[in-house]
This record gives sequence, C-alpha cells and structure tokens, in this order.
Amino acid sequence: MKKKIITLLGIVCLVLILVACAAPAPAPAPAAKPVKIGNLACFTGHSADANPWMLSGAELAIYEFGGEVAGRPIELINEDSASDPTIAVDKARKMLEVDKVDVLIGPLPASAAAAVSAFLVESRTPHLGICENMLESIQLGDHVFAHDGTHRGTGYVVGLYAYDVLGLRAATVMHDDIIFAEEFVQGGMDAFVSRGGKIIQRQRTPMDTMDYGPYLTAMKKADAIMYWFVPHNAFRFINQYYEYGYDMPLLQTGCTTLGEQHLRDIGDNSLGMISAASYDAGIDTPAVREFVDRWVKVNGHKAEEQGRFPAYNEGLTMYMSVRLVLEAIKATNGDTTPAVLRKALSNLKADSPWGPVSFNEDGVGIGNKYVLKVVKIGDRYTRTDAHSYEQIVRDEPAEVKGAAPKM
Amino acid sequence: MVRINLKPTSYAWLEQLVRFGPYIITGLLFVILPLLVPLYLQSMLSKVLIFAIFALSLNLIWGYTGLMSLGHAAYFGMGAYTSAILVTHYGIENFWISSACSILMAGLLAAVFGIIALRVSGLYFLLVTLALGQLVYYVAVAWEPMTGGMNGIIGIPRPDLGIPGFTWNATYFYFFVLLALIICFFLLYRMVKSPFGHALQGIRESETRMRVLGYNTWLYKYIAFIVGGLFAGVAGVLFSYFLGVVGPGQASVTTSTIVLLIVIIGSTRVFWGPVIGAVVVVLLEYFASLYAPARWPLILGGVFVISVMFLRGGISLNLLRLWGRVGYQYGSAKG
Amino acid sequence: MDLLVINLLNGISFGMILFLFAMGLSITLGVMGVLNLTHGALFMIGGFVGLSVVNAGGNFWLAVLLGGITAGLVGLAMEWLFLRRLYRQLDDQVLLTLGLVYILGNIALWIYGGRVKIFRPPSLLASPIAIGDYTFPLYRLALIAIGVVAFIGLWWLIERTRIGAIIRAGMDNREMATGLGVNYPLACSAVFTLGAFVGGFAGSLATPVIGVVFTMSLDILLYALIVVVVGGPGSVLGTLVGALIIGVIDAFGKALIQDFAMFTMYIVLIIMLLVKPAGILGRKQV
Repeated sequence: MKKKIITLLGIVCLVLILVACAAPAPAPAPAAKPVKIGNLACFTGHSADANPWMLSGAELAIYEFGGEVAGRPIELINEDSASDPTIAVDKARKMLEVDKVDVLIGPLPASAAAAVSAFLVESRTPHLGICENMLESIQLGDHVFAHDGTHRGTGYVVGLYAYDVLGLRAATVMHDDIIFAEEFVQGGMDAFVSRGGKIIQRQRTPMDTMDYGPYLTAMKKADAIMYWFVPHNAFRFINQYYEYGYDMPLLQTGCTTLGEQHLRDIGDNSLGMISAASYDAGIDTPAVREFVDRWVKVNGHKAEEQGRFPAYNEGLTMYMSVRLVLEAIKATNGDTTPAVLRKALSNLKADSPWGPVSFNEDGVGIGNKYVLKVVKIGDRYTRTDAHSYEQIVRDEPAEVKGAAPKM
Repeated sequence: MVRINLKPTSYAWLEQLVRFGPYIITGLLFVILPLLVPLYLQSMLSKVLIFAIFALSLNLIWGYTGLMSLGHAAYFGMGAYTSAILVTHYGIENFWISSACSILMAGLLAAVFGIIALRVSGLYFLLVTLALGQLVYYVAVAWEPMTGGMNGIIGIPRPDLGIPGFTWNATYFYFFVLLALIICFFLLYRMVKSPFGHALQGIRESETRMRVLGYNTWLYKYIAFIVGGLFAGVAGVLFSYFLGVVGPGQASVTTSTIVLLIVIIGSTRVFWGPVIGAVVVVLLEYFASLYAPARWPLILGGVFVISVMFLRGGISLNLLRLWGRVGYQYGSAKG
Repeated sequence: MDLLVINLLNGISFGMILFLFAMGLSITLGVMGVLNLTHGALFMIGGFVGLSVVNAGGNFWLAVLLGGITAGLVGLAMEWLFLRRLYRQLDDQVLLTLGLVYILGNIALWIYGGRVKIFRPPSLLASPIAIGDYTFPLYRLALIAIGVVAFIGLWWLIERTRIGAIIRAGMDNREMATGLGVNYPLACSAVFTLGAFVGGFAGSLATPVIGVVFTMSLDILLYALIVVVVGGPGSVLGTLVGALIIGVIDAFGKALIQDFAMFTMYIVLIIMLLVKPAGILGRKQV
C-alpha cells in the first residue's frame, strides 16, 4: 500500500514538476527586448536524423551576427515537433502564445510545415520552411516564405540536367507514395519530357516499405532511374538497388536527403549520384569554402554525428532560413511587428555564400540552384556541383507544368 | 478487523462530504482551472478533454464489455475526417449539421466493422480491430483527392454554431469541449449504470453464463461497439476543430495505441478512470516533450512501466483505494 | 517465367526473415499466453548490436550471433523482471510492453542517432547472381538457406525433444504440466529467451537488407502479428507457412497491384481471422 501511495504521489509530482519547468521563468528584463525565433525542430520522429545539423546551422547564423541584430539580442527557441503535423501545430501554438515569437521556422517534413502555415494564417506570423515548401502552403498567404522554393523547382533542374547535359533520353521513375515525393518527381519528369525525353514507367511505393526487392525486379531498363524517397527509404532503396546489381545512373530528382554519413555507408556505389539543392557545402567557390571553415570553427567541439561538419543539406537550409530572418530584421532596424517583418522579407535581397537570395511576389525564393554529384575527396564522400543555374525562381516554370503524361 | 460504528448519525453529512468531496473538487477544478492558467495551457486542456471523451468511449467496450480494441482510432479518424471534409470541401459550415453527419458516419463505420470484428474474441479481436483500423489509415493515405493523402486536410476553421456575433477564443473553445465532455460523461454513465450496462459487465465476466441466462450476448456487444464508435466520432469531430488539421495518423494504430494506454493507465474498472488517464498521459507527453525534447518518450515509457509494476489496476483504482483508506480513518464504513 | 521465379524468391527471402522474427512472438503467445509487443524492439536490438560488432571490426557471423544473444538476454531480463507476473493479464501486458518499446526506441535514438544504418553481408555473399534475364542478390538466397536450417532446428527442438514436449504440454494445459512436476517457470524463461534470441538473430540477419533504425520496432511487429495469426501461434511449421504466405503475398502485391500492396496483407489477416482464427496450423485458441 505504501508503495502505491509513493508511486501515485511520484507521478503527480512528476507532472507538476514538468509543468513548473515548462512554464516560462521570469527573466530579468534585458536592456532591449530580444528577437525571438521559434524553431520547430525534429528531436524525435522520422526526420530526427538531420536535427543536430539543423541546430548547428541555426546557431552558426546567430553566431555570425554576433548574437544580436539591430541592438536586440537574438533568442532561439527550440521545441520538438516529433516530425508530426499535429504535435507541430501544438508547439507552434505554444510558441505564439507563450513565447511570443516573432517568426517561426520549420518543421520537417513539408507536410507538417504546411499544417503550421495553415495555423499561422490567422496571426500572419512570418513562417519560413526548412528545405522546400509545399505549393499549397505558399498559396495560403503572404506570411509564408519559401527560400528553398518548391519541390517541383528542385526536381526541375535535375530533369533539365539529365536531358541537356547527361544526354539521357528515357527514364523509369520510382518514388514514395506521398505528396512531396510526387511533387519532386513531377518537376523532374516535366522538365525531362518538355525537352523531349520519355518516361517509360512510374512506380509508387508505400511509405512504410522496407523491402524494395519486388519493385526493383519490376523496374524496366532505361537510360536512368529518377527517384525520390524520404531519407530512411532512400537509403534502403539505394542499397538494395546495388544489391540487385543494377547500374543505371541514379537521379534523385529532388533535394539531397542523404548526408555524408549515408554516402559513406553506401560506399563507392554512391559515386556519381545526382541530386539538386539551393545550397551545398561542396560548391567550389571561395565564399562557400570560407563558410565551411566558419562552420567547422564554431562547431568543431561537437562529435561528428552531432554536427561538426556541414554534412546535411537540412543544416544549410536551416542556416539560410535563420540568416534571412536576421537580415530582414536588420533591414527593419529591429522592428519585428508582423506586417513590417513580412514586408522586409518580401523586399529582401540578401547575400549568402551561395550568391544573392530574394523572394518573388508569391514568396518563392529566387537564387541559385545547383545540380550536385557525389564525389570522393581524399577518403571523404561528399558532393560537388556538376552544374548550376544562376538566379532562377526556385519553382517549376509555368510553361513546363503538366508536360509529363499522367502515369 | 471489526469496527463497531458507535458514532451518532448526525455525522452522516461528514461521511457524505468525505465520500463525494474529491468529485466535487475535481469538477470545480475543471471549470475554474482554465481561468487561472495561461492561454496555451487552455488549449492543452481542451486536448485533454477531447481525449477523455475518446478514452471513455473505448472503455465502454473494453472496461465494461471486455473487448480490447487496437483500432478504435478508426472511428475517431472517421469523425475527424468527415467533419473536416464537409467543412472544407463541401462548405457545410454549420457545426450542428456537419458534426451530426460525422458522428453518424463514425457510428456507421462501427456498425460495419462490428459485424466483422465480433466474429472473434480475445486476442483475435484485438488483431482484427487493428487490421480494420489500419485499413482506414491506408484509405486515408490513398484517397488523395478526398483526404489529402499523407498531408491530410489543413485549414479547418473554428466551428460555426450559427450564433450571430459570436467569435471564438481558446477559453470559449475549452468550455465548449467541457460541455461536450459533461454531456458524453452523463450519457455514458447512465448507460453503464442501466441494466444494459450491467449486462455488458456480465458478458465481460463470463459470456457463456450470460448466454445461459438467455441474453443475446452478440447483440449487446454489437450495440456497445457502435455506441463506442459514436462517442469516438464525437471526440474526432472536436479534435478536427481543435487542431485545424486532420491527418491519416488520427486513424492509425499510433493513435489507437495512445488511447488504449490512456484507458489502461487511468483504470478500466473505474468509470471516470479514462478521464484521469487522459489528464496524465496528454499532459505528461506534452510537458515531457517541452522539458526534454529529445528524451520525452523515455519518460513516458518509464511512467507506463512503473505504473504497471506499482499501480496495478491503474491510477484511478489506486486513488479510490487511497481515498477509501482516508475515509476509513475518519470513521466512515466505506471509502 | 523468370519474373515469376524472382518475385517468388523475393517473397520467400523476406518471408524467412519474418519467420525467424515471428517465431519468438509465436512461442511466447502460445506458451505463456503473453502478448509481447516489445518483440519488435528485440529485432531492432539484434540489428544494432550486430552493427556495433561489425563497426568494431568483428566478423559478420559473430556479429549476427552476438545480436541474437544480446536480444536473448534483454528478453530474459524482461521476462524475469516483468512478464512472469502478468500471466493472462492483457491490460498490463500491453501497457508494459508498449512502455518498453518507447524506452528502448528512445535509447536507440540516443546511442545510434536517427538515420537508417546498415552493415555489409560477408563479401562471399555480396554479389548478385544471374537468374535468367534478371539478377538476384546472393545474400537473400543465403537467408532462405539459413531460414530452412533454423526451421529444421526449431521444429526438431519443439516437436522432437523432451523439452519441446514439456513446452507443448504447457501450451495446452499449464496447470497439468506443473502438476506433473515440471519446473514450468524455468521452462517459460528458457522458451522466452530462445524466442528473443531468434528474434534478435533475425534482426541482425535482416540488417544488410533493410537496415536498422530506431523507429522500426512497431513497423516490423505488425508484420509479425499477421504472420502469427495466419500461421497459428505455438506451431513452428505454422509460423513458417504463415511467414511464407505473407512474404509471397507482399512480393506479388508490390509487383502487381502497387497502390494497394499493404491492403492485401490486412485483408488476408481479416479473412483468416473470420474463417479460421486458430490459424492454418494453430495449436490453440488463445
């Protein structure tokens, strides 16, 4: 009986302690009101693997500004979205009402971010994505800023590259049965077909597939395979692909998803894999090299699996999201009222290690887009740019939409 | 140990107070609490109440009828999706109409699934309900034009009650959900205390015995199953308005698991047990995630394991025993 | 024709993994009447331990063996500390085993990080072989062979040895078996540990194919539940048959009716439960 009482009291105490800890502590009033950036992070859930890099990227951007902007200290508030739309909206509500954040970033995946964008329609708090945004979320309102563009925009450049540069003419397609995978692949297919290429097959695989064997067996031979999967599935797919002995070039018609650790695990088979991104640590320019040095300097104390090197694309897009926000606040001289901040972001033309970044009238990013190829430098598997498209709108051009046949 | 009760009857009021005190205090707490806590916690309390309704509906078929279902979220999801689709796709803004339709749809689904599921019992019932729940999940994922696929439906507005000049805020919504909980609580309580409810418990104890006594046990189980589905649909409808988004996760085994855990940890043998379970699990999950964003599943799992080891029967049962002890010490013959 | 053979091999190789994994669940359910939802986490532990051993420079077979042994030890601890007190109490079993899944999954995230990891099969088995116009990974054929050997071993153990007889007797009537002087709790522990070992072994063997990641516990468990129900709990042959059926349906479903592949599995489960709940070769109604 005593044990039960103690246990009951223990649980009650635990709940109360957690409530007390979570309630914001009364802080001494700072000299100037801090700028609050809400980060919907993915500590748990299916997008958890890139989280340490996303945190590092955010911290680097803040560090570069010296921890303050326009005389106001910068405060980054991290909460776990568990890679889930419902929990993300819960946390977004908390950030809005309790922490009174000025801007929200994230979460992954894009579907969870779309749910948050919908939630923010009422308050019109500026919302930036990590990696690409769903087109429907951009259309929700003028508070959504997709600097990494849309999914089709990323797939689009890979499709162009495949036809124009690699000279491929026929492709088979495989992707996760989820909307943003479809969008990625659609961009690639539209680009490819609009140039004259042919899509000979399209396979949609369920999200919880672990064994791609049957799909691989059903795959028809073509000049290349265009695919996109979420990281867990992409890794399995690629390993099993080589297990079965296929050798068609792998075209990931979308963002990179697989960090350097993944590439190392895949080994030599990963060499030559194609993908696309707005930012990458392997771009061979002085500005990017300096950026990588800065990253390593600031994060050098961390373990490799905790973000020492800029090994994940998500880390870089997170860095850019935070940086763009800070640049906008600098432009408004520290005014973070939503209307002013939205306008500043709209008109922003920020410099970055990857060239200038700005937004068009719909909130879609304008900047460079790189087609990336996996290479080995020393004993490190990394990516470098195979081709770049300068200062384009990071979305699929209207004239190309619908070029690929419905399959 | 025999206690001869020599106290005069004029202390009977004290006895009643001790006995009903906790219920009164808890009731008042639910009403007053939102006015004392910050806004975002009010939202969280709304979520607690919604899951309380959901858990009470599951306990009708599990705690009272003895049918453990791992697919109860199918009806929750059905209610949520129907409500979301009617409001966003078909523009049926009126809350009363859309919610009534959604609840009926959830009940209909339970009626169909019940026929399949009730052909088996015990572990197999668990697995059939799991499979049926997963079917709903996969339909939600596959039927993209209607359900938005993996992305679900976003942008659900607050309910339109048809009251002119009324605008929502978090506090009003909380009381709205509280009202719903009170109504559901009352209805389910009456059902459970009625001869029907007693028959269900008889079926839980021994179905053979009930059949020998002449009861059509299948029919009783079937009705209970449908009622459970209806109330789960109520919770689903409220949830869609609460969050503004509905995703396939709402119908999946993950949600079914959470509500099952809520019922078990709250006590299946106490009528209001699931409510306590909802309070503990929802708040624990939320605050653990705020305090330990990367380690909260560890805390949650730990609480489950500890409660199995030391709090057999669930929290509410042990609370009652504890209170019984206290009441005993103050001279009443029962706790 | 070749395509048919390849898809059959796809299905059978996946089925073998499911068989090894589901054996643990089947025995536990049949023998102890315990629904061990943590079994998926044991699969995951086997995979992660195998990974650690290989990364530390160990030999592949050693890694797989150690993966199984670690899972077996974890299973033993679970049984001894928790599950032996919960005979026939479904509530508590569910709460406890799911709680452990949360805990073990989060610990795995803590130690190993969030991404899917893999280790290579032995180089002897690493290359694909040609079957007609198609190629098929040699390692998967090896999995089929291992599965067959394991099946023979387990079947012999349960159906032909004295220990197996004790266990089978206990499945049918626990009180009677105890009354006959059998140290039943010890037998239970042994059986549970064996099931956990085989489950972890399966997890380790499967890692070169599907990788290992902290979220996989419940995903793989769903497959195993279907296998156990279709095949019948407590029966070695039944579990094999169930696993092969599910594996082949999965493979052909994916190849032929892609959009509804996952559906097929659950529909088979539902039909099975309605027509013959004890499973194809089930010993007992649980």
